[in-house]
Amino acid sequence: MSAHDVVITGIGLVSSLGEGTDAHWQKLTAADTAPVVDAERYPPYSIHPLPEIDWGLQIAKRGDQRQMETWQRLGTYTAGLALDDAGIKGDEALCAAMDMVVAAGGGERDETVDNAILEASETRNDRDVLLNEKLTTELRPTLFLAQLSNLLAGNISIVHKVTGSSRTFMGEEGAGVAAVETAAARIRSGQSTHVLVGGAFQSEHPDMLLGYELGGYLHRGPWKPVWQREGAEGGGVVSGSGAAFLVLESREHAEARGRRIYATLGPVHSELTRRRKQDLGDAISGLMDKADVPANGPLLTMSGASGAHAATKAEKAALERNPQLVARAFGTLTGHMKEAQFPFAVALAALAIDRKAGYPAFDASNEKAYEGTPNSVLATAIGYHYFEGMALVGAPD
Amino acid sequence: MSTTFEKVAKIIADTSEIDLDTITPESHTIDDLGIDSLDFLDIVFAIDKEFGIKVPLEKWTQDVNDGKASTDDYFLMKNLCAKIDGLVAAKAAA
Repeated sequence: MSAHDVVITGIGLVSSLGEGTDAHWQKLTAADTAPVVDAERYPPYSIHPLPEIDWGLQIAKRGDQRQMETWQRLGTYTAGLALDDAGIKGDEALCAAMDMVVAAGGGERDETVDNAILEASETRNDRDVLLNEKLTTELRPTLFLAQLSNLLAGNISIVHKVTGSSRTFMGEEGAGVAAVETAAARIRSGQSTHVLVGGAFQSEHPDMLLGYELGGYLHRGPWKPVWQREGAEGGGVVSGSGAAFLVLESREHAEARGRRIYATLGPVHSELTRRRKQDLGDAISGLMDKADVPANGPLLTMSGASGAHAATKAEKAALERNPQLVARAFGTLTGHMKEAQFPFAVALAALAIDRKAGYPAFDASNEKAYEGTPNSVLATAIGYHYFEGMALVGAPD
Repeated sequence: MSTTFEKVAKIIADTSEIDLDTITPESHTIDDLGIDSLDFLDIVFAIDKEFGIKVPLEKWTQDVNDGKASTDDYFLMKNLCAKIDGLVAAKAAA
């Protein structure tokens, strides 16, 4: 135990299952929770949609809400949940000294403007002029800001007054892994005392689905659990809207202010495997070796597996190589939340530690039973396309 | 038919958190109504759309910065509405 141990003191979660730690714990530990799936809006693809959210609960000013689209609102809202949970929200001194690392994609494009440009380009040859003309006259100025990746962090600063250092990482699941890794490393080295870290993904927008489908990654046809999509039509990913933010602190800082500690966060291990040249399964096993998995007893593993055929197959094989591991692919119920996937995995791992219980199998034909009180839980995010990460979450004492 | 003032006041109320009743022809959009620069960009965008014009905001800002005009000339509601009417008339004449 050290003063610079990284501890988790705040968790903010939103997914199709609901919002907050209690709602997620209840849904994910109930034996009969069915996923919330919308197969109607973007056929032939299914998505897991956002629950109804009263944005005003975390983003009080209407003007602030208006200057964001759903993705930034979702992240800002969920960051507020995490700050609330950690008892930091509204504490000016703590917020001003708080660092932030955000995993971000791009914001939603304005479909109407895109369509207007495409339509006009059919009858005009001066397309460079046309583009500037449309962008300067058709795009609402502040909604241009809603497309900027680092403005999620910007809005969190504006709305919640988190104004220490701020970093934004891009790169899908890898950004989520790197964000948590960097935040934890800063605390461990003494550079930060408390950090807000996380990401959000809003899947309910055509360009977000297009991003996956250009690579042929989306699952088609009826929904199936993550581990059962191999061989089905399409690429295996069912995306979901959601977000996860964590408040990480040094043990010393959390104890000094008397905060409840959910769990400790061990070192985050990550890799950018060249998957065409290197065996992904071996790379994942290599990460597990580094993660210092406890030698005895079953180890609950919150897997961020996306369902993408090759990556999910490799992860499953690597997990099965170690008979101790009891995997739970939460993406079966939440969908793939891209940048938020790893922070979400860590959050669910911390909840299991805190509540002293595991999760029932989300897919009984592919996931073993788990009994007992978890003392450590492994969290993974193996990118659907690239980047791999994992970390061991442990009991506070 | 609504007047220019009524249309602009409605745009301002819809865009920012300002009560429609507090907006008068004598209100200064920045000093009295407290519209911030980001909201102002969206308001001007909505005015452009509503009236089919292009408010030369950069030129106005430059004029104020150069001391050629005061902010009242452009940003007092009644003056802003008169400028909009002028731009609409100029466009119709073109």
